[in-house]
Amino acid sequence: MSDCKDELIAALERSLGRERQARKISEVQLEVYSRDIYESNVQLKAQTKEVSYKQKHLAFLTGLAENIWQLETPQALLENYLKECCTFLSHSVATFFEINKSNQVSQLILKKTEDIAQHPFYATFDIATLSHMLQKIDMKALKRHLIKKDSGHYVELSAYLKDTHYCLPNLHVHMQPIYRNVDQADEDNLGVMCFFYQSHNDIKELKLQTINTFRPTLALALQRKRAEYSMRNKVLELEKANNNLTTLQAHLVESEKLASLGLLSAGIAHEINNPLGFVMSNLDTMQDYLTDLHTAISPLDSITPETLNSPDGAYNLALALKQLNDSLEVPYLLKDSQEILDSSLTGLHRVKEIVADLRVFSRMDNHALVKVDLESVISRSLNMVSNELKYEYHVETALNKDCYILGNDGQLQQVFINLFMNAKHSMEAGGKLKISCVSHDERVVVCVEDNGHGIKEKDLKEIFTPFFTTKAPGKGTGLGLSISYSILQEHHAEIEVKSEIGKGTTFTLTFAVYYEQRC
Amino acid sequence: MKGIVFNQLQEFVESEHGIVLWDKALTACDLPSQGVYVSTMNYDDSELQGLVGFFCNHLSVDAPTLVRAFGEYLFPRLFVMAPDQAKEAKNLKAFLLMIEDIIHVEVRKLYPDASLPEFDYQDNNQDLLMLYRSPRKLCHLSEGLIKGAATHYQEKVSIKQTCCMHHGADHCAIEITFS
Ligand code: HEM
Repeated sequence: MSDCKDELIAALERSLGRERQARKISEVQLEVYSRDIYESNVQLKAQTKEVSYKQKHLAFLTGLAENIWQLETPQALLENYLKECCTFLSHSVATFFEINKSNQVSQLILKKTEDIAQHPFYATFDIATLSHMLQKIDMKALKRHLIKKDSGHYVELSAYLKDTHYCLPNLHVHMQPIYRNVDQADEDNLGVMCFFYQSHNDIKELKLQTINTFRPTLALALQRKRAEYSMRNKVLELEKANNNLTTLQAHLVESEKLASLGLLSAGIAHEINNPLGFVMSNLDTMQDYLTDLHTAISPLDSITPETLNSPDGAYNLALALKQLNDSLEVPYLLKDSQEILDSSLTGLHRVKEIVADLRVFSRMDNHALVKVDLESVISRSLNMVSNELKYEYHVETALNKDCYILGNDGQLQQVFINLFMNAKHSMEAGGKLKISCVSHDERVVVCVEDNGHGIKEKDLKEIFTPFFTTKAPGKGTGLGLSISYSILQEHHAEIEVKSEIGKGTTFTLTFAVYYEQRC
Repeated sequence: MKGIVFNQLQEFVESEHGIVLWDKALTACDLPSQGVYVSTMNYDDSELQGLVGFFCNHLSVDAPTLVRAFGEYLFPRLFVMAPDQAKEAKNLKAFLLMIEDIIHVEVRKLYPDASLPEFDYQDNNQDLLMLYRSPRKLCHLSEGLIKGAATHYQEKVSIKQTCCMHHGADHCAIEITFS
């Protein structure tokens, strides 16, 4: 029994010992835990600090990244960048400059925050000071150094002084090469970001590193901005060139007109010469007639009062007049004179008409669209080429009256003359030219049809292209149809061409009918 | 194996057979820990094996029976530590299905170095197959724990293993049939 008790007591003692030991171990364990907790707390705090720090850096970078693509010019972009940088760095003056090919400083920009501007030292550090200071620096050597480094770092400016006696302000300088443009001559243009600090304590290394990470993005943005900029300039140039071309085209239209006028002038001269010829010979004849008529009434010259009072005198006078009247065929002369005058008038009318047509055609300035009668435009155009089509050609017209459209007389005439002359050229050995002008369904449709040699399919696409011609060199400008085309476009006319080799070509022009505008 | 398991084993032995037997076992086994167990600390798995071996010998029971009984005893003590979500399980099956993805996950949060088994489930409505994998091969402890859980939920179940790591399989399949 006592053995049992002893056994129990011994067991309890040992158990107690184990419990104590366990407690001690737990206490130590607890201390370890609480130290662990403390340490992880400290770590957490440090991490939180780092995170908030990183967040600040990130916010700075994202802020930059957001803005950078929105700004208009490379200059604005740089200015914004510098402003953001000096706010971020808080105790620094942020500057940018380019060291150009000839190692001169250009595009100098300087930014400081408002806080800094109040500071006695930084207040005097302005763009003039900086510019003056940079002039003392051997930019060639500095450039070489920066290119070699190709990253943000501190630069001991005094090492690059051209004149060692010059006293630099006591500054800490951090430089970051941003971009480098190398031209064909292997000359460099180097863009440099440069941060100036008065005190070494103000330098926040990590912030500079963060700024440094943005260098490639900034370089890219600048490059794009510049490209955009020059693109915009190119567009402006193109616009200018286009305007020039438009004026040039207007001139071309006129010169084409003059050219066709030149082509037509021989015919027109002939047209004018013909009536002029017979008017001249008519007038010659009239001169002879006039002499005869003078002779016929010459006995009247010798009349005196006595002759008239004596019966013989009067008789003799009458006799003489009668004889002359008969011998000179005065009645015939008078009748023929009338005819001569009539035909001369007709001839001169014809000349007047031709000149009037020409005047409309050659009018250069007025391109306004007004109410015009297509039938009369076509007739006048035909008049102008009538000499060209006089022999070997049969012209068939079916022109409805009152085909009014909104158009320009002279320009339309140019189109038709061009079409008629083309038709003639396609019918070298003569042929038939059919011209119709009808108005229906609010449209006026003009057809110009020839039975000439036709246009090849591959040429058909080209006929409205400027300077395209199938005529021999020196025979055509190659502008006629393209100009006609642009004129017809201005008239909002549709143009259709059908052509069959050996059979002929038909141009169909469709215009909108002119409506009187009523208020 | 965590100290908590040894502490519970100690309580289990002491409550059934008295403090002297526990003390005897510790003296006989001469364990590296000297029987000093702190619930949160890790001890070699072999210590558990040694103790179980001693008790089997001493009490003339086979290990599975002993370990099962311990599991049953252990369950209510573990249950109090279970996360609320598991405690709110509406029946045994729902609870068992939470062991792998909720209960032991929560254990791991508390003891990142805990040695826990891996359970896969096959739910066949009337019965549930729990596939047990662990290098400690404590499938019988699972059986006991499940039995304890059934008692907690006042459900009648029959538990048997269709295959067992102790018979050379790579896993144990514990089949729980609900009646
Ligand atoms: C029926 C329900 C449960 C079963 C079948 C089960 C199964 C197991 C098994 C078999 C082990 C031994 C380790 C191994 O085999 O690798 C174990 C360990 C453990 N289980 Fe469970 N468990 C259950 C419920 C619980 C509950 C409710 C808790 C409480 C939160 C819990 C906490 C633990 C702990 C702390 C360990 C010890 C880990 C170690 O020693 O490192 N278990 N469990």
